[in-house]
Amino acid sequence: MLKTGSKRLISMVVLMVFMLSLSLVAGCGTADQPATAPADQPADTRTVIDQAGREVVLPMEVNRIATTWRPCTFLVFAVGAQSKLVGVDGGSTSTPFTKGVYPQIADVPQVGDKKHGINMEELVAAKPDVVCVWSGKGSEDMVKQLETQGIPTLVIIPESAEKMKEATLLLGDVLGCKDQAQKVIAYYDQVIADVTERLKDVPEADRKNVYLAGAQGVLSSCGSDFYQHFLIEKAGGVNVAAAMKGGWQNVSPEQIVSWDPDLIIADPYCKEGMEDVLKMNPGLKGLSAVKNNQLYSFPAIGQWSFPIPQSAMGILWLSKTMYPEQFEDMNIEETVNQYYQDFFGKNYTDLGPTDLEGKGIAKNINDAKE
Amino acid sequence: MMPKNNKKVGLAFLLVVLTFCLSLFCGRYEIEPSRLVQLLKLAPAEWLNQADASVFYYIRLPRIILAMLVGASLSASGALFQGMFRNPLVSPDILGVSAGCCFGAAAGIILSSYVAYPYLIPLLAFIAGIIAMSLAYGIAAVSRGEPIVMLILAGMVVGGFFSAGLSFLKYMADPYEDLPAIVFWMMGGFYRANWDIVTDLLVTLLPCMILLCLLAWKINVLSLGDEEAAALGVNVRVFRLLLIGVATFMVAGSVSVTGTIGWVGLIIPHIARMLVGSDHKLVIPMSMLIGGAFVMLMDNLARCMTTSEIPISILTAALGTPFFAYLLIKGRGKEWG
Amino acid sequence: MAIEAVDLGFQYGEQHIIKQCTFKLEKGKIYCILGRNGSGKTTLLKLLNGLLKPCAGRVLLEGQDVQDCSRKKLARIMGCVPQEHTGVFSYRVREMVVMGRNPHLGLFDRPSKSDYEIADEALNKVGLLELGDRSYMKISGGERQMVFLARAIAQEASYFLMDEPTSHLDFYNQHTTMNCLRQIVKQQGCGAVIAMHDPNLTMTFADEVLMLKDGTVFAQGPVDKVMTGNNLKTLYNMDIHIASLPEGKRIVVG
Repeated sequence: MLKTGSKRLISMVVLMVFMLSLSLVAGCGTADQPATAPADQPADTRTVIDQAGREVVLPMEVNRIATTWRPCTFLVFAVGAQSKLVGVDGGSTSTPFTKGVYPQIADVPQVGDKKHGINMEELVAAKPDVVCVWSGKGSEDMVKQLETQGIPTLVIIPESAEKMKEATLLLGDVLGCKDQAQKVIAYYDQVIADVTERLKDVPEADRKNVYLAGAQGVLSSCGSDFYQHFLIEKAGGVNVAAAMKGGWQNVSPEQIVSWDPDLIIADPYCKEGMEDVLKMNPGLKGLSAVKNNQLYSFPAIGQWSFPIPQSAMGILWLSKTMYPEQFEDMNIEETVNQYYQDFFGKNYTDLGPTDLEGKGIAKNINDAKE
Repeated sequence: MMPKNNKKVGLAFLLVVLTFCLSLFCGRYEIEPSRLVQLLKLAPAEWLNQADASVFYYIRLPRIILAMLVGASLSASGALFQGMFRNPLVSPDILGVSAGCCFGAAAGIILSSYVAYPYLIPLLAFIAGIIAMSLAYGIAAVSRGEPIVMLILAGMVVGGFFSAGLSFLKYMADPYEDLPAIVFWMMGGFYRANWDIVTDLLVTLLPCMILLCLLAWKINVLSLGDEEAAALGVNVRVFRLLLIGVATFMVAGSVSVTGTIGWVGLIIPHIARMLVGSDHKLVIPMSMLIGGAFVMLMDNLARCMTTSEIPISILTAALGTPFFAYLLIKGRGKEWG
Repeated sequence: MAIEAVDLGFQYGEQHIIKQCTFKLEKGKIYCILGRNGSGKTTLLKLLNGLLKPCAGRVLLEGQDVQDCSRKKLARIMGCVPQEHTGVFSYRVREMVVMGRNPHLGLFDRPSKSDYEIADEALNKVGLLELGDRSYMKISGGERQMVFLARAIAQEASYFLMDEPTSHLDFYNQHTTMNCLRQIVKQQGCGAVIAMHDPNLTMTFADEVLMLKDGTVFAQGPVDKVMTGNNLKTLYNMDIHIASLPEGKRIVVG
């Protein structure tokens, strides 16, 4: 059985290798692929460099833009070009911020997002002049498909403060909103400078240790490679989880006890209440943050922890929450309302229940403490 | 009996053709039916010159063909594995092929920062899928025990190992660039379709499908169990290796471009069996036809139901499972005796 | 053509299942292998068919070692009838029988019309033609045994190897199956090797008997010579009487 089998076995292996190489050869043949989109009159176009370093040929005047993920949609709002949105990522039509600032967004088609895939036909049907895509990876096929339709793509990667500013200015440039883009970035820089100035007399030893409760619940946090870490630093705090890597990661209760943060701040995406966590993990009741009631949630509206200019408000709010004495003269509600009036034409407090006190996470905390 | 079953296969073929035609008319980009007929007559040189033609030829058509191909190959390999392992609960993932593909794709996403090859991700996914199967087969071959049980256990081992590897890659991946790309890839779907992918898959899958149809009757003999099959003149080890190789090519080929799509490979073979009985020379082509039509239909829903995209696996599970339950209740599993 | 076992031995680890078995099986005869549970009957059949590789000795087909023969060649010479079949897929009876044609078909061949005709003929021989379209899982145990016999007939093998074909059958079906087998053996001049539990059935249907105890053949030869009280006593390790009936038949009583 074996001896006669082995000869045929070899021929099978040969057959498989042959088929594999066939498929490889086919993979290399890209002859029928159109090289570029049909050329328009060059006079009406210009070339910009996107954040992946690609040269992108765009119409001189971009009046229709589509975004495929949330932070990018918010960036378009930041430069005040929301009326040029002809397609947005799934869900962006109904966030309190987008809906409150620009009610017409309800009629803008959602074209999918990077969590669920892009509906390419819907996207093409929206006839955008340019489509914003996330980092080069995972979007190559999409870029390729859009190329066949003659639609340019712009890679936007606002992964750090610098990149975020760059992205904002790039979008401002592309969408013809340079002034607003510069203004919003200038304000962002000013807020950071103001916070630094106010905290300059707080000695290193008195800086607050912060634990940021993340997207997967209170027992998750992020290290220094996320924008949230930058937020905490600029607000004058110390991220206890700074050594972690790889985005949101789960954290053991023991680890939190050993960090013993002065404050626990919940990201807007953290949907868990602190009381439930304490019931499940009574060991956490001894944390200084719990004993001193230093438990806060980011105000839910506006995604203040996103890498977008609005996060200036997040820095301000976080800093005031950590160091109330240094901000005694500031009425946070007034400041925030003014910012939203200036850049979005609406009072922040009119966008919905805002919870500037940040008590969301600790609403029923007293039940749990007993 | 025979002519009746051949008629059913003919009807299923008709179903595929009809579904294909219907799919041509489905999409979020509005193309009038009359205009569509005009588009069909267009010469290839004209495809890129008109907006609706380029949508039709470069977005819609490759996607429909991809869905059909993947549906057919997942279903056929499911039918094959169920027959070969004599177990109706087996799905094409059984030898860890899908887990291997996912690992390979994740590795490809991370490596794509350093290697500029446009098809790195599907290629590595495909190779890793083949490696996973070879590992599972190798472990089973050197272990003592009932070969089929050993294969299934080895498949679980290899699948678990590659899943762990995937988790590790996700942990190590750059959270801004790589991680979202990996998560996006895992979800599975046909939105990546383009002609390169379709021709690649055609070259890989079509020979496998033809081979499988040709070998379909022998699967009957193999499904009687190793010893009976050997007594009936089948060289079980060689034949099983050949079949596993063919099925792995089909699964790895599909998964490496569309990610994992659940339920199709498990349910469709059962539906085929309920329609034409257990004879694999009918079950295999029937599975291909029904699978192709089913996935095309599900993808039509994924493309057209909302402005956004609905993940295909949600649809195949949400619509496939109740239909399967209905068939189970109605047929009372009569084809399992 | 004959099947010869020469000094055959087989062991699992330290445990010897078959030791030094030497015998010759010729066409035109029904051989019954008698032995207690665990005496190695099934193993011996698997060795004959090349499904197991002997640890010592050889099985020869016309002088050629079965281990050197392809499965296809062996299947054209030896057809197996399993003791029972635990199937998963409910094939139709005709499909089941036509699988016996496999050794006569190439890798990509399917059974042709003539193969189905051969299958129907085989079904006819065992008297089950009308069951052709039924699922083989929905027929009785006796009928199923006949279907497997029909499959072996369709295989056009020179030898039938049967592993306790009657152990799950009632008295009537035991006799029908064995009668049918005897008829086919005599008609077609092929041989049958049957692992058997029942000494009375052996007495009635066998031409030759091999008695297997602890893995060795301790008695072999024509049924009249071997089926003696003494041999049976040794084989089963118990008191056994053989009674003669008026018509010349003999029965074994425990």
